[in-house]
Amino acid sequence: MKNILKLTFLFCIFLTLTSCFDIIDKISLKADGSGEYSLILNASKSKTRLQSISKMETINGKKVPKKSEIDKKLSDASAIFKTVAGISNVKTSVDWDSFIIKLSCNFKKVENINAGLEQLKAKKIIGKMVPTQLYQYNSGSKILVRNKINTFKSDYDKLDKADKEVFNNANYTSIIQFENLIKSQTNSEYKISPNKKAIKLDGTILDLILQKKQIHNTISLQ
Amino acid sequence: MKSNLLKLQFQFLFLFCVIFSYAQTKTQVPKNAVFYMEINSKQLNGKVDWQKLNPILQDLNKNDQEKPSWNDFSDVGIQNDAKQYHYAVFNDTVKTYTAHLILKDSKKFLNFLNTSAKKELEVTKKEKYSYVYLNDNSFVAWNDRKAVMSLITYTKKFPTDIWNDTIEDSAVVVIDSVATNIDSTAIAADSTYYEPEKPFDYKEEIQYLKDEIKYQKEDIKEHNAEIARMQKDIKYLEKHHKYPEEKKTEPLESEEVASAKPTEEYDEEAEDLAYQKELDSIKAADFKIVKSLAEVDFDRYFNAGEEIEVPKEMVAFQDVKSDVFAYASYSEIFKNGIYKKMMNAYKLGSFIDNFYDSNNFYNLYFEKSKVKLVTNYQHQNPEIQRKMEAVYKGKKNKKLTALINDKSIGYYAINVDGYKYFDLMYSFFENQSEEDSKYQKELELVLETVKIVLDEEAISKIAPGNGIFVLNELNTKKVEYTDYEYDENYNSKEIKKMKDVVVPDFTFAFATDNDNYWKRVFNVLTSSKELSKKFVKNGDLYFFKNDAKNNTYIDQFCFTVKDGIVYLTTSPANLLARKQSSVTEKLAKDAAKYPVIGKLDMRRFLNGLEKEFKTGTDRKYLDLFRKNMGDIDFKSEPKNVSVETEINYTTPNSSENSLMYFFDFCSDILKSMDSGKTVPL
Repeated sequence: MKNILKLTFLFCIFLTLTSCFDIIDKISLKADGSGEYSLILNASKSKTRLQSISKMETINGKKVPKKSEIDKKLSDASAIFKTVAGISNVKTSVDWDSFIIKLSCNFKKVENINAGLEQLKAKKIIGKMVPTQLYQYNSGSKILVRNKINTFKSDYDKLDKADKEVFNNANYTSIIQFENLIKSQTNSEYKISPNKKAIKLDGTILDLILQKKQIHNTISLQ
Repeated sequence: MKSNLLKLQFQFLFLFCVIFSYAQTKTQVPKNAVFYMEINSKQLNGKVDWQKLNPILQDLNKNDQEKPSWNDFSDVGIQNDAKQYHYAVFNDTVKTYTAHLILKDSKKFLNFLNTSAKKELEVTKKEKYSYVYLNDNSFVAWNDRKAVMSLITYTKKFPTDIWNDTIEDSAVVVIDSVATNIDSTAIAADSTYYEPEKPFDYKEEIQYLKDEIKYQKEDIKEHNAEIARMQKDIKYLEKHHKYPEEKKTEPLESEEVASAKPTEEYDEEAEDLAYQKELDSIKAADFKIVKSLAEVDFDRYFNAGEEIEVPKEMVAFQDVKSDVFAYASYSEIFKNGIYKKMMNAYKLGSFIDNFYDSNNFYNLYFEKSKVKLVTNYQHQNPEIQRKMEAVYKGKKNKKLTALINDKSIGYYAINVDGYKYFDLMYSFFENQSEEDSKYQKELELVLETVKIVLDEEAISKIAPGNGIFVLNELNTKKVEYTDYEYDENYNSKEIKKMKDVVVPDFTFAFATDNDNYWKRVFNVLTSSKELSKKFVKNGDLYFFKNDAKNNTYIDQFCFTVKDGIVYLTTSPANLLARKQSSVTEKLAKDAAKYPVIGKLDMRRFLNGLEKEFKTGTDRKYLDLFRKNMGDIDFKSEPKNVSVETEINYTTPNSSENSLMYFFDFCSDILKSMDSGKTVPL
């Protein structure tokens, strides 16, 4: 019966013309454990719709953030990241023509990223639910661990129909590039590049929310 | 002797009449019902193909199980061709939905209830009926001939009037109109939610005063402690000339985290258990009240005859030929019912009260190839109703309806009297009742001032009340966007791609008796230093050009005023007269005739959206809707001291009738869901 009700609303969903966005995170890890981290939110595919939404005060009963508010939040995030020990060269940018938001930085240890995210959470720049302890790297044993994240299924289920639609065409790509060659990995969902120096995970945001695809991985390097 | 015999005969006759009339007492639909519905089951049953419907219902009934719990839904013990009566009554604490059914086999009915509930329901036997509860809110009672289903929710009344700005003293005792009247052993014959007025209870008042004394004593204690603390502070200030230094506290975040962590003093499990226990006891108390209310309802229903008496005003616009008739009282909902307190919170309370003080009547027909819904809106105040009807008596305007063409996807046209609209709005502000006349004099003064300031006649000449919106086409537009691609070593590269987005091609036009006014407005737009960057004049046409970088759906708007019509459109081509076929000509004629009229060609609309649906699943469902969605048209006009709106939904497929169409559509959806999730393109 639930499915029928779902489909009853499908037509209404058609009329709302769902938007889509991509989240891309990328790490380039050197042998000494330092490297570069970048996070991109690309909503360019939905820019026509977002342009219209940005002129509205509310959508689905929720306040539409102003461009200035997003700019401020991003500059706050950048300022916070700059204060984290081991993180340098923090750059942020927003392209309001294409709706692309970027954050990148260099790190001495990959765990610095965890600390940076933890700080963002503490200062309420990101939500409490966002996982922060993402990476661990042991330069002695040359093992990088991409930690498991909790399921967001119960939180997702609590969302109303219209809010859920936001995630329907949202994609997630995670890339980790290494200086050393990859010896092995535990999660076959990640594809290994032919030069054996990079791995990539492609999926939808819903795959991660509903844990249809696991994000955790342990990569041994030569 | 003779007179004694006559007296005896008379007494016997009187007694017989009393007994007879008692036996024939009708079940009354409460006068304060916010909703009433009558299902003409005899007609509907004739339109249902049970052979087709049963498999669909079985499929829905399965719910992840291998077999459905019931096979023949045409035989659940209910007399399928007997009328069903439904009604809802709401107040601040109790919401009740009741359905009355006629049974043909009570045993089978109970069997169906047990099967549906997937357990043996606990039957409570009463003198004239038996009943079961399906859950905390749903009750079903029956005897050999009839059944009643009740859905009752009870919410305890809150202590303060949350809709008022001034929060009252927290010690005010809550007078719960329901809970206080429900005794665990005996229930008053009249349910409290039909009679919210409560007689004065001196015992309750004594208890209230005792509680008040207790509260005041507690208050004295607290005040004394506060005085002692202040005296201590004074002494400290005299000695040290400053307040004692406060101990440093942790930041808020860490405090929150710490308090959430289990400590030795905090036994989480015990706390959870205590909370659950309290919750269970609240639920049990609520259930007791709800059950008592249900029994009161059942007693009344089973003590009465089978006939249902409905207040006349609820069936004022009932058509006996309709398949379903419904009534909804907006005044009951907004003026007297659950939103009463909320409405009072607004300073414009009387406006909202007046605005919603209406009854709505719905007659639904499942015809051969269309579903027809006729609604009648009637304002309770005859004067406002008269003014509303006057608004709906606008002039015809054929120039506007000439914009409807053979390719139009849909249109919405209004032909109302704009001048009369002012009268209607003023009457909404005029207070009708004495008790709500708090700001009436001030409001009257404001209204009078507004009337002086506004020249309604001049305003209505700018836009007399004729307008039309025509959706001509859904076109596609190429939009550039940025994407990321990866080489074989997963180095990312930004690339530009193109995609199609659907953009509407429409015309909005309205009549005016003052062309020059609009010409002046448009000239200001094109000559103003700031606005002229975006507004351009080309001959008689004016253009608003969007910055191409803005990526909005519509690149330009074209507007002009010509021969008493103001046009706003996405393309100047839409202003040229187009040929109308005889069908379109008739539609245009109707569009000019009715005060409010509209039509949407769903198939053309969905065809236009096609480019937006790219994945296999999206396309599959789009095709499903394209196959099954029908066209919608509606029209409103003043009729029989009401505003009557007729909405027609034309069913496109080959079902036996429009009722079976919905089930066939449902069946198609189920098949589509079973055929797999993603279809590759």
